[in-house]
Amino acid sequence: MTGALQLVCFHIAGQEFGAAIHDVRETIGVGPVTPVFHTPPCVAGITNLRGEILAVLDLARLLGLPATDIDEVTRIVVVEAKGRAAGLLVDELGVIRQVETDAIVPAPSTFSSQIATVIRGIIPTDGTPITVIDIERLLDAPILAPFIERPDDDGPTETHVS
Amino acid sequence: MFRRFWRWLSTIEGKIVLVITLISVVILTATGTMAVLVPPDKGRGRFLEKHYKRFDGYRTGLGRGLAANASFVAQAPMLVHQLNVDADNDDVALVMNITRAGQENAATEIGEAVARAAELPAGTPAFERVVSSVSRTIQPDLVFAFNSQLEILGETDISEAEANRSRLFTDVLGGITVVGELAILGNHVYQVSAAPIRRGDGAVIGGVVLGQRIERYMEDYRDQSDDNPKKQHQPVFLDVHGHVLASLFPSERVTALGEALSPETYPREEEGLWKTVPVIHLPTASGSTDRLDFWAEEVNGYSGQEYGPIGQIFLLRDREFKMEEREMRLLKLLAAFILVGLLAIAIGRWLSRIISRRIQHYVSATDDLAQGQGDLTRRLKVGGMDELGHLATNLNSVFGYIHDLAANVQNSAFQVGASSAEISAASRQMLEGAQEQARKTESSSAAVTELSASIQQVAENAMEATRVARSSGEAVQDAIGRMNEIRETVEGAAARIHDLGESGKRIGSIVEVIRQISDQTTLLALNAAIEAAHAGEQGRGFAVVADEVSSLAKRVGQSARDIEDLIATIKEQTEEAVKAMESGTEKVEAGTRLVSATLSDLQTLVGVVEDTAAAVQEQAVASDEIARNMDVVQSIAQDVLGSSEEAVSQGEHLHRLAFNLEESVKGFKINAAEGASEAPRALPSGEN
Repeated sequence: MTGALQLVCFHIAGQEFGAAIHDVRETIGVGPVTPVFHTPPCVAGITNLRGEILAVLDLARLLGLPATDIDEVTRIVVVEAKGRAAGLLVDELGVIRQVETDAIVPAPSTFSSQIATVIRGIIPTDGTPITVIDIERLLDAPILAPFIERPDDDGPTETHVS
Repeated sequence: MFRRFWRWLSTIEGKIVLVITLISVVILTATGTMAVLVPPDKGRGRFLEKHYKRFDGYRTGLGRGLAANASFVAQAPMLVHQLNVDADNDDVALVMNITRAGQENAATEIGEAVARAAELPAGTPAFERVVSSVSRTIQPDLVFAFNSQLEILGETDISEAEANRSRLFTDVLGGITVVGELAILGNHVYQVSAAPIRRGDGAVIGGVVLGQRIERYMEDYRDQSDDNPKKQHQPVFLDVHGHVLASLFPSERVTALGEALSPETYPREEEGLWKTVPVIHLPTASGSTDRLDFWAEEVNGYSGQEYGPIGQIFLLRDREFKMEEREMRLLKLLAAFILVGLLAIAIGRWLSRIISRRIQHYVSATDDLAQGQGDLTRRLKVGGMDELGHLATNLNSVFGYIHDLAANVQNSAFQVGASSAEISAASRQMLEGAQEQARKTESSSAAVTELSASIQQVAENAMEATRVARSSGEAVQDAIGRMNEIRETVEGAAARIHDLGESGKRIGSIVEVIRQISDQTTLLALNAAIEAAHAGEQGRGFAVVADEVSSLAKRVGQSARDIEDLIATIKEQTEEAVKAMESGTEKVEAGTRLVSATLSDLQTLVGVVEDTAAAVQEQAVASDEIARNMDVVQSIAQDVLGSSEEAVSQGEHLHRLAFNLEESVKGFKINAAEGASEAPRALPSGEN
């Protein structure tokens, strides 16, 4: 699996994270996020993206970090894998980096299994390392299953559009 | 001889003798003439008038007593009883009545008499008893009672016919009590008193009449008028028909008396030189005539049915005796005249000698003094307390005063001489002083003029100070204006800077928009890069563009952030500038206030300086006045100088005058032993 990989980088709780550009649909500003009852703390709420209802995830809570404060540089990175889409709340957007696949090292085993499953690996740099999120696994995470829209599911989208 | 007499007459002595003699003669002549020509009242017919009054009073008094008796008799109860009832009444009752009457009317003699009448033997009629007792007491010539029928009780020669005609009876029966009236009854003149008798109920049942013959009064009066029978007064009653009804003359002369008392006109005799008086000439049995002074008055009384004038009562006195008295008086008068004249001359001479001798003494004593010489220590002999004594005392006083005067003059002249020398010396000193004064005054005057000039200078300086102070005030005022301008300018600058700050804010908002656009652009570039990546190989070029756009956007964002920082810096600095300016403004205002206070102080100062300038101006005027006055003082000092010179010459003149004065009183002798300055001697007697 050698070859170049483009990462869309972003910052959460002072750490830089990255997601494969293929898994990123777009980045948007934070619109109105409606909290939803009886959801895990890592789900910030839902938002309306040009008629499509997206679940907005707070990665920081998922990763055991403090909750993200929404300010003027807070963005939502819309990710999509296997037809499932969700928004990630990020403190600040970074740049698009060209990395070699080899540069990605596996996450240390000290990470909890829940976190380790959504992390593809870590790219050590001169500064802070970049943690590469595996979007596909993230969206498959059982805790998020009730909230993430699947392509074969009908219902919620239709309901929201109407 | 005559000339010597005339000269004697012109001396004081002669005049005194003449005056005394003349006065004596005049007095004697006057009194003598009065005595001879106008004889005194005594000895003329009219003098008898007052004797007649006495006779009349005597008669009336006795008549009043008689009337009291009549009233009492009329009240006698017995008499009342007798007239009222029968004569044969019970005597016991009468006695009782009489006794009671006696007790009630005790204390009068008549009462007792009536009471005694009751003790007379019974059978005697009551009236007889009463009359008997009354007659023993007062012995009336006439006593009777009558009843209402005019029946007479008692012994009298008056007939009932006459009683019937008489007004006296009807008056008494009419209730009148007659008191001491004259009545002609039965050719006699009586002094009668009568009273009505009244019954118990007051009705008049009769009357009682008591009377005395008028001759009894006449006799008593004549005997009392004079011890000398020739001088005795003779009363005569002459009725209206010219008949003598009562007199003390012998009966053979009564007819002639009646004719002499009622002639056609009375003969008149001279009395004094200018007067005649009526007299009565009564022939005597021997053929000679008695010459009588008389006084006659009409009298009223009862005569028959009338009451009115019943005749005249005359008082007569022999006139011969009076004539003798007058001749004797003339002779005595003449003798007194001569005697008094001689005495007057003698007294006059003696008196005038006494007076003129002393006057002569005074004249000779003052002769020397009249010539400005003589001994001033001599004194006159006073010798008496009269006017001449007083004159001598006065002259002695005058001598004393002249003595003192001369002594004082001598002393004073000496002292004046000495004093005038002193005055001369003093005047000379004064002259020197005046010269000195004139010099000093001149220099003072110059000093004052200088002073005046310096004060003028001060006044001008003060005016200059006022001007300077005033222009300072204006300068300060100007400064205040400038500061105000500064303040306004700073305030304007602050406003601009504030505006600048506002503009910075707007720039900030614009930059914010730019930054947002940059962010948006970055986002878009990111999204474009994402889209390019999705496009694969076809999107590679686009990805490059997106990358460029992203970096551009990032630079724009960075620039916008720089601009924001700059604007923030500008804002801070602007605020600091505004604060600094506000602080500056406050300081300028404080400065302005300070300068304003200074201005006010300066204005006060200007006022003070102006006042001072005005005061100094007044001072300048006053000092001018002083300078002028000093000129006047200088001229006065010059006058004083002249006066002092005059005083020197006058002092010398005074000295010469004192010498002359001393010379002029040297003539008088003033006892050298006593000294001129000694007190004057006490004057000899005369003042005490």
